[in-house]
Amino acid sequence: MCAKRDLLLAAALLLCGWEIAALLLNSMALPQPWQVLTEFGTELLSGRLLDDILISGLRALAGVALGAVSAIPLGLLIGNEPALNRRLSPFIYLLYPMPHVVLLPLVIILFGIGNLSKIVLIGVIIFFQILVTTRDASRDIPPNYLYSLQTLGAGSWQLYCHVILPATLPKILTALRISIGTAVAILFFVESFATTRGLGYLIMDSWGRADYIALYSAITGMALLGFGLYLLLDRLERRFCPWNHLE
Amino acid sequence: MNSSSPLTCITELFMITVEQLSFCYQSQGVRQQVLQDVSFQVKAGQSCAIIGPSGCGKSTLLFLLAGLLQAEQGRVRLAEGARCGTILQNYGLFPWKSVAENVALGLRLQKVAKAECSLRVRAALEEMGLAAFSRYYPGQLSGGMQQRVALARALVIQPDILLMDEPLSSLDALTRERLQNLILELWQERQVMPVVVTHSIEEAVFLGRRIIVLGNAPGRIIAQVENREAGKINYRQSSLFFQRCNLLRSTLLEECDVRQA
Ligand SMILES: Nc1ncnc2c1ncn2[C@@H]1O[C@H](COP(=O)(O)OP(=O)(O)OP(=O)(O)O)[C@@H](O)[C@H]1O
Ligand SMILES: [Mg+2]
Repeated sequence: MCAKRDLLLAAALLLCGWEIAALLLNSMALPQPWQVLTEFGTELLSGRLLDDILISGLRALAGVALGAVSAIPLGLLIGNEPALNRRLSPFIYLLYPMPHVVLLPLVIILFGIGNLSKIVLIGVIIFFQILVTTRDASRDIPPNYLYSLQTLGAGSWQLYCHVILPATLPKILTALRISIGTAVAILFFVESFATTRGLGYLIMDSWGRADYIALYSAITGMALLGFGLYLLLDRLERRFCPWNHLE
Repeated sequence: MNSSSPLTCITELFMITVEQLSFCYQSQGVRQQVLQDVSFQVKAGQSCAIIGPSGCGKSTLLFLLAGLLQAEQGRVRLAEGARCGTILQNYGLFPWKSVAENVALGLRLQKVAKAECSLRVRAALEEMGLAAFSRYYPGQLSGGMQQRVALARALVIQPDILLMDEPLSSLDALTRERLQNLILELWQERQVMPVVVTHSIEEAVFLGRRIIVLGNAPGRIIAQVENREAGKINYRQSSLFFQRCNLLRSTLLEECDVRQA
């Protein structure tokens, strides 16, 4: 991650750019940052916006967790068990490139229109991204790592614990971090209907009311949510892959 | 084989017996013969160096000795109950485990109790002069230190045979010499039989009581050198040492010339 000071500087520059654009454009459709941030602050303090951020955050996290928890073990198995790879890789080949977001109707039929279908759709999309990365990463493990452990008398379960998982973990966590952008985009999509809670709903609602300050306040919330999740995964990566961050 | 037969008593003298070993790699439907009819024996108490041109099958032979590959023809026999410690070419250590965790791994897999495990790990690290680095990751150590961690990891399980695939090839000359002396010490004082795959002629003559010279494509034994003086003090400075090196060099060069012609 970059240094805190550089990060603050970049944020300040972005705000300046926004301010200048707002002044130049001089339109209702682009309010000035201070207006938006004041609105954001008051709404946050009133509690309503905070609830929406939390609801959206939980939906996104649950979806990402669902996708990751199902994709990682399967990806590791496919990458290491040739028989499984032969059987399943054709399906992945066919299913991976399709835009999974079009599965929405199916997901709603199966899981209703509540939170579950929102989480499942995010999960499905994350699942395929993580599955492919995990499979490819575990195929790329230098075979001598596996042999080294075998010379110490390891069985296959121990190979997974001591070599296959740790060797692929950095790539898996990086893929998860990258997929946060997608997760938040899908979150916006699934929150734009059949709910009255969440940042996606707030954005659509204030847009419909042409309340641009509220709109940008909700967008700010969405951006911060994405940033927060990204930061969380960054932390996780540092916590679980310390060998990747040596001085 | 009947264990009471007189033949077994004779073979028990040998730590390693390799009989008419042949090996093929099978990749993408293509068979590639890598080793052909390799036979040799190493007596208990001796050491062994395996040398040969690049790609002749030295690593494959070591994999067969370590039991990581199974021969389709011929066989590899180790003395009954002999334990192997193995150091593979590159990627020996796990970068995601600290030095102590790397060394402890063999004991953990053998379900050795935690307290005993940490005692033995500490002792092994101390022996290799690495006590202060137990919490480091391999990525934070120099090449020579990493190789010493690999040695500690192989030695902590108290092996009778130490299989090493080019253990010193990526080290600077001084570190290499220091580690060669260390390996010699393990052999002479701790009775651990070193089996060293190397492409360095000097290393083979310095460390190998028996030197197995492999020729190319497919790998077969072109010479076996009885190097009786290996391990003696000041052998490296003696004229005999240089004679042996030159002999080995010309054997290897001849093999390469024949191959090119
Ligand atoms: N896993 C494998 N699958 C197919 N062929 C292999 C495999 N490993 C090695 N080979 C081939 O077998 C031959 C011998 O390889 P090996 O690694 O045993 O040689 P080497 O003597 O150790 O070489 P080097 O000195 O470069 O380490 C080479 O031609 C190589 O291409
Ligand atoms: Mg090799």
